[in-house]
Amino acid sequence: MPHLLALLVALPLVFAISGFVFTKHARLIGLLGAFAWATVVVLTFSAWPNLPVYTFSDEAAALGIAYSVDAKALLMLGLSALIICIVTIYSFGKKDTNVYFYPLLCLLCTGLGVVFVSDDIFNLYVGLELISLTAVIMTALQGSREALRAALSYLFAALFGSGLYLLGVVLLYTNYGVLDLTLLQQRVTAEAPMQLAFVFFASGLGLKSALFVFGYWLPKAHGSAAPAVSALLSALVVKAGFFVLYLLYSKLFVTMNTTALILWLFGIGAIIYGGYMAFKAKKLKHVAAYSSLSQMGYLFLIFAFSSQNANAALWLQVSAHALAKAGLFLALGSAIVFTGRNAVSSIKGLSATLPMAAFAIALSAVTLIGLPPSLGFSAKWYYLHAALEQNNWLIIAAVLGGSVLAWAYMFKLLILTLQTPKSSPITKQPARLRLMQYCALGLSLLSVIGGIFTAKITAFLGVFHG
Amino acid sequence: MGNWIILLLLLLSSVIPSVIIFFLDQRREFLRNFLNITGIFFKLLLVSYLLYGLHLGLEFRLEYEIFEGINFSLRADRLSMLFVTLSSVLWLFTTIYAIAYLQKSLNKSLFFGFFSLCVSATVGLALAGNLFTFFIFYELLTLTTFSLILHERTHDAKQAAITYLKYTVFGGTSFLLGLVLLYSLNLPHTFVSGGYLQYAQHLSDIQAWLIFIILLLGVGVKAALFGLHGWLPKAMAAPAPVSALLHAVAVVKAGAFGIIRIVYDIYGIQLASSLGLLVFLAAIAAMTIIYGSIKALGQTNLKKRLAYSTVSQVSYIALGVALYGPLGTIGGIVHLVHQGVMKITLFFCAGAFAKTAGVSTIDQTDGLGKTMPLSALAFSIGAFGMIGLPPFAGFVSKYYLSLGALANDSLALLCVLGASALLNGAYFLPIVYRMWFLPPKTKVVAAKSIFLYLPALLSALLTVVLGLFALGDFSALTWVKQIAESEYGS
Repeated sequence: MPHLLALLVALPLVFAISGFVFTKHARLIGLLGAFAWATVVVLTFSAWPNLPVYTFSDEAAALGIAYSVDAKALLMLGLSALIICIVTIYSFGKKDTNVYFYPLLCLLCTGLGVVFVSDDIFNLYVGLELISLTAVIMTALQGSREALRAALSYLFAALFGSGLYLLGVVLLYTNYGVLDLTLLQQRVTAEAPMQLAFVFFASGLGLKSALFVFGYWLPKAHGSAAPAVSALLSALVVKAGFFVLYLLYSKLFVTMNTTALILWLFGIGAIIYGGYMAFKAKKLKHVAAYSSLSQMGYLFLIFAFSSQNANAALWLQVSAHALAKAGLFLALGSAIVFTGRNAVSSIKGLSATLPMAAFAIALSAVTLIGLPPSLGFSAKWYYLHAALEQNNWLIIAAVLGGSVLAWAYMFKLLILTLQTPKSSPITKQPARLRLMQYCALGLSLLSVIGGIFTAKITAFLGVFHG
Repeated sequence: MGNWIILLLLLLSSVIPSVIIFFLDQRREFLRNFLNITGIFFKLLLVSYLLYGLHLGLEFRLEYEIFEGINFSLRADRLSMLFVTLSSVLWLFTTIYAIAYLQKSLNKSLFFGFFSLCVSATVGLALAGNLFTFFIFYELLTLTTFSLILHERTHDAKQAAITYLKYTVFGGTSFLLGLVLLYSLNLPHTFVSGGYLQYAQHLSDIQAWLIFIILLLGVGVKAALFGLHGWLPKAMAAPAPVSALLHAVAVVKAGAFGIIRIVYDIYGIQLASSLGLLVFLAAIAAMTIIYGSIKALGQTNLKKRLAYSTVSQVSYIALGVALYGPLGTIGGIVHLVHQGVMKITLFFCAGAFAKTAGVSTIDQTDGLGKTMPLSALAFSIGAFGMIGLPPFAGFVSKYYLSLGALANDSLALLCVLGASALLNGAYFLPIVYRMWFLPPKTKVVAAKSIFLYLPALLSALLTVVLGLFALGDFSALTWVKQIAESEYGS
């Protein structure tokens, strides 16, 4: 099918608009939209690698829009489709989900589609904007004052980030006259304006992907949004920002060592700071939110090296965190619905009252800590090897330290779940609660079992053989 | 890839019951026990088949490329089958014992689910064909045993579990670092009798030492080496079946097994000896042996005394590994089997004493020979074996270890072995004396269940048989002699 790539963007947009218009049927439209998008993603998988670059007009690539996918984009699309579908099913289990969640979900699909298939820097901007605004509104949907304040803070961070990104675009365009990445790659040199451009891109996208101090908004936003929304935010939204940053870096700015140094040093800061704050957090969703801050830090380590091991580590960590964190948020969401409370202490005895949710938390813990055979372990393995190749003992210490911190904050939760509950366990759970737990369990289980297929994933991505 | 299905079935025989048991309702007692016992019998059947197959010269391997260039590898060789057989047989005893011991306990589905997963983890690391695969099961063992320690849900259990976690997280992190360093050398990484590190071309002595120490820190936590042993006495807060499990079959033996694999099948005895690693290991083992025995003397709690005794005795294995020459090797590896059987007897009895007569301290053991004669008999046999008296199994291990020390001209190590035997006597004989020659202090408070003392009697019988018939064709000793032969190439 020649128009697959365009469908990736257009189809969910249609569903989103219908969802906004026909709010009575918004839930069904959202569900259909998510699955329709997933279908298109699957079709794209099967059509690749014989999929040609899709152009919208016959204009030369300089100003025309072109869509294409490579293995990494496909991985991101696959993860997104899977997580969005499961989160949608999960949201059916929660009775009081705001009806606008569903068309916004479809808009998120559109934004993600644009980001992952676009080849020019302005289109990427459009995609990022769509994703950010959708994310902000979804955060605010939760309705509480805390959520509204967090959403506002997120909005400012996102807009500021977009502004910085645009400044970078302006610098590139005025210097080279093209927006297409492939063309830019041929023309960019390491002169001063480009250094500045990269600083703009790095800070702008750093804001969007919550890099260490740039992620000041994340704990509040992910911590006060509805669990389904937090799952999407942690698993996909921040990854989109990072994806664009890495895309730009690998194609245009590989030589910019100083900024890259700051990026990975901040990454280390994020790992340690996020892990520590997660341990000290008193609310369940905040534990997961700070954990996201920490795990995103691992992604930024890629700016320290450019080896095959590092590449493998990066994409494995993206997959591991997306699946595990989404599963964790959904499991915590089930617990919060069941107990009605948000505090960490409320999951006491969860292994007896909501065993599947507790199991999902345990499985997510395995991946976040990085225990074999999970995807998290695979990522950690390759990070350690990459760091060892360059004798970067700081990164080795950071990776191992981050793992120890993850042991601390996840086992704090797990020990609580294994204790005796105050109330007696209900023998039959409401069907919706079981559905919600199955969704959580499915994602967490995937993050652990996925590690068994690490060799196949790296082969698909072409990490080791080019 | 020969006959991989058997190996997979061997693992699944305890994974599948485990998964089912997790989902079972607490009250489905019969089904749970049935699944457990059936799984174990099936496993024993497969083990017998594997042993027979090995005897016929069949190959059993499972290889799967899990990372680019790194295989998940399972292999049934002599050493792995030794550990697998030990684990499976002792598991049967422990399951029967646990079912009786935990009669009135809560959370049995979780317990037996993790229990079975523990077996799988142990069998997995026994069968591991390279250190990477070993590590996968090693960490699985950490996770499953953690939940078992936590079982009673008391404050003590929680503290014990957290302490265990701190030690094993340190060990696991160290192990991973060592593993990464080892694999960065880009050598073919399967376990090979005689080692493979001697083929590393750019490996300096310092690097070899560093990797060894880091790996030793990793496996040493589970093997309860001096300094890394702190979790073990605290873990006595777990119920007796768990203590029996941890100290006879799973955790400590996994650590010791790791040391065996690292020295013999990665470094190779020749390289280890020439680098001076064996001297280092011997020193640590000797320190642990003496330290554990001295601390055991000072304990008034029965289980804690047994715990420190374990700390001491597992280092006999490490000592055997550190003694260059087939005699030391034989002594160390055969003690893996013998110590397992003897220690499990002692823990079974300690648990039975606690459940039936409320005995938890040494001075409460008075007169148990009268009130619980069969258990007291089993305990006495185990104790004599630990001290090293013939004709019990412990004597055979000590004999070979002593010969190994002589072969290495090490009077010091010989003295350590002698001192340890004396200390063992000092902390075990008083208990035996109290049991048989003093009037009882405690009364029988609960009904005596045959399943609480039958497993102890069976393992006590094994202690005798392994000692008496050590020179027979099917004894552990003969088996271990064959393992030693392949390592030294004689």
